[in-house]
Amino acid sequence: MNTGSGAASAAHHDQDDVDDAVGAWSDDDYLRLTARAVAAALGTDLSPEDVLNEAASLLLSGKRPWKVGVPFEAHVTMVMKQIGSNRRRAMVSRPTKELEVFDNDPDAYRGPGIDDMVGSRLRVERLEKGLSQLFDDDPVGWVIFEARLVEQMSVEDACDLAGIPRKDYETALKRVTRKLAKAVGSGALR
Amino acid sequence: MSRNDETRRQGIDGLVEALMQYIDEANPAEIEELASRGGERTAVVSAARAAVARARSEVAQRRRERVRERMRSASFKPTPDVSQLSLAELKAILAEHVANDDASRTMAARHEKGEMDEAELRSVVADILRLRQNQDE
Repeated sequence: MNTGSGAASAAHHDQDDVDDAVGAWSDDDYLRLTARAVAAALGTDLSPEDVLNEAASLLLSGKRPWKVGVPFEAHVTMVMKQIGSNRRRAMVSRPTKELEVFDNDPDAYRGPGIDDMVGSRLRVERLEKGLSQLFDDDPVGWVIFEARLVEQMSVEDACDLAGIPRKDYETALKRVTRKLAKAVGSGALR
Repeated sequence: MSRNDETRRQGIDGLVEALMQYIDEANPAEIEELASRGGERTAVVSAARAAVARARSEVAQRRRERVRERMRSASFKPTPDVSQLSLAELKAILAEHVANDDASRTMAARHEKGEMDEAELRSVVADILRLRQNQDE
């Protein structure tokens, strides 16, 4: 993958660099980017191809300038994470308000898209449930996931909470991320 | 967004971040397993290539539409760069302007008598072009 050495300005690469970097993606790059898109799309109604399409569109149109010094794949990854996160934010926040209206008075909402809203909420809830089931037999892994990966607590605090010595942290973290990846790869988490 | 929703979103963002870190260090077989989700590698790569090609084509299409829109717009009138015009082109523009504007006869006479150097001629033509553009708008 092109790491982008041709700087156009002190701050950002020019659009030709972006076009060249996208055009240089190999099959292995596409595979790795799809894996990243699978991750970014979790809990949304987007397919990994949708995420990749949207990311490429933002990059190629110049709406997400590529900072000099940042590897291109890291930049693409950030764009994909934003797409997924924004989608989840929109899905979780918008339906809530309208669903409350719907619940209180079934006649109050007759607009289109109610199925999508319900679907969005169910999708997030299904993902949450899948996550908790995944760690049913691994309470230490669950604590590591919640404390370190979600709450960004320090390694020391996460180990303290999980009740494991510091030296066991890296092994526990690897076990957690491998478990998550396998669940996503098999379709158990989506 | 309620506190509960925000917590949910954070939880999923944390999951996504964990997977991105996993991908950073994963070997090719692990990457393929995650990307393909039980499908074929070639199908995954083709779908990804198609998604990016579609984006490229959509971006190009939007650019073409924007250019067409600007071309259609009444306010868009490309003005020639006076510094790039030849002496012959400058004279032709001046002659055309004078022919349509009696008030410019003095200017034409000065030019014919050689009282107007090239710098002044360029400046006059720049004024004529600006005037034309304003009239068009």
